[in-house]
Amino acid sequence: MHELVVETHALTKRYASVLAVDSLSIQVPRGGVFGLLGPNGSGKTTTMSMLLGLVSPTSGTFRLLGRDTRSGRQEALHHIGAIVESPSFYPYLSGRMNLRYFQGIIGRGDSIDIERLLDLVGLSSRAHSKFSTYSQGMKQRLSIAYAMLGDPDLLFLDEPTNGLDPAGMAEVRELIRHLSTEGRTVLLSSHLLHEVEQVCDRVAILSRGRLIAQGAMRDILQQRGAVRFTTTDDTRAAAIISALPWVASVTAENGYLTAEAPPERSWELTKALADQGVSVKEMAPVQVSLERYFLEVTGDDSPSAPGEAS
Amino acid sequence: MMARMAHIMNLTRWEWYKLRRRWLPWIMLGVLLVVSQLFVWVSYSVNRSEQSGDIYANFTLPGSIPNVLGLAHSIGVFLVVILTASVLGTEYRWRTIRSILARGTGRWQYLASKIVLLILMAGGALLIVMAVTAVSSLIAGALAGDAPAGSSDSARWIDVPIAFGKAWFSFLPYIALATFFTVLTTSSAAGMAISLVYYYAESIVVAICLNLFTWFETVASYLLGRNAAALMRSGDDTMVINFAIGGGFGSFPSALHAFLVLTIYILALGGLAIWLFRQRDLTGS
Repeated sequence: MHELVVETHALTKRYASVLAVDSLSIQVPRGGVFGLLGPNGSGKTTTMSMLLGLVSPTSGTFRLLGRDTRSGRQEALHHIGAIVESPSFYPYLSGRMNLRYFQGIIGRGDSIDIERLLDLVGLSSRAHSKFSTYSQGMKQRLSIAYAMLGDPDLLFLDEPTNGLDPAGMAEVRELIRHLSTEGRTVLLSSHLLHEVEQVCDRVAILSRGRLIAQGAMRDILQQRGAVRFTTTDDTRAAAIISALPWVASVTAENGYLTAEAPPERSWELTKALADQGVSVKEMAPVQVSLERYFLEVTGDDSPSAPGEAS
Repeated sequence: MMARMAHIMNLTRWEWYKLRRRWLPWIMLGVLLVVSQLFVWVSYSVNRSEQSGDIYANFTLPGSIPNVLGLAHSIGVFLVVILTASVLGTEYRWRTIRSILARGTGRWQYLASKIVLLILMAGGALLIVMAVTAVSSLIAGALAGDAPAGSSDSARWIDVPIAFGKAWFSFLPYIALATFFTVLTTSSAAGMAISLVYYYAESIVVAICLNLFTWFETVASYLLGRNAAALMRSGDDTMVINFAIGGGFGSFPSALHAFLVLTIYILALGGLAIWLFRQRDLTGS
């Protein structure tokens, strides 16, 4: 069993008649990037806010870095870096002064750390400029530097690529991967499906405040794998395959049949067809995309298409 | 306990790091200095045309300092409310409050550090006003020469620290008031507006009601502004001029009464602000 850095049990938040987070139970193991995926309003930010002590849960419990949050939340938060929602800094202070201030209240690190972090996020040349003069991308980079102050064990990054251009998004994703390889755990919240797919090792999918699925990315996608093939008689083949209980659906497109079925059972497909006198001409597994999976499990929720920022 | 105090003092230090880089506190200090120096030099000018012992005491030491502190208090209440509401409210507006608390800073410690800083700044501003007034009083005194014949020498140096203590202490309930309303409304503008409306409305209501109802004097003796004014007026042989709002009508409570009532206001409003700050969710701010 992996050591868990975040563990929630039936975590719930209700605002008047709105159930923002509904009995959420997630387990985030140490190391790697864990994605909280869901459309806007699915409860990602509320969940992070509860974990960071900004919002009180209506009910439920959680542990951070192995500490019970009723007695050890402040202590745990000292080892957690976070970006929640938009970058929030003092507009009249420079980027460097902002980091210096936050470092001062955290009480760990020195000016060398600040220069290292500014360099890491590519802000060294504008570190002396006031925050109010920064572009959205620069603000987002400063947020990442802020989250890294004090060398935290766990990073909460809420939509860290918001407002970045495609090149900036790619850089930040690379940076997130890099941070996770240094032994840290990154809890990444995003509504960008391809971002989560590219960066995360594990994922929890939220919809309307409820947990729809969680687990290793590969396992989740394999559960909904597909097999694409052509046969000597596609009409008969479709009827034969549709009758198999473990095949979810069969569709015909561009001269191919696609059976929604675990790819590792493709030999059974071949056998079933051969038994009925239909020969397979070509067959290949198809990895279902996270986007497709997401649409399936969340019903009519609308995730953001690749490249679309919120 | 010592560790918590050290933590609050560290937070206070970093609050000062931020605040000293804003224009607002320096502009306010400038206003206080200009007004206090105007008082000294206008008194000096008046004394040149119409010599009087009372006027002479207004611009020479030690009498000038308690008078200037009385003036600084009445203007300072206005300024301290604006500064308090701004210092707290901008954290909500800029959403920096989330960044601070998300890194493990305790809520009550954070609010306490803000209040401590505002109290220290209020005291520091009064000390600077006193120092500058002392210098200008020495110059004005030297230019004016000896006191007019027959003027009483009622001003005492012991009144200087007493006047300083009263002026400083009288700021505290207003800091607590503005803190409470800013935390309640999570807005600088609203916190400022409500606190200032209360400040002025109280003095107007007290003035009207005291003229209409004799029983209202009992009610008035428990109001914030009335007690602040009472404290500033109390035992003031040297405080020739009372600038405090709420003065001038009816009889004032005693200094001890005023001190106790103001202390209750400080504890109640400060405690409520901290309680509210700890309970509140920080959503979207």
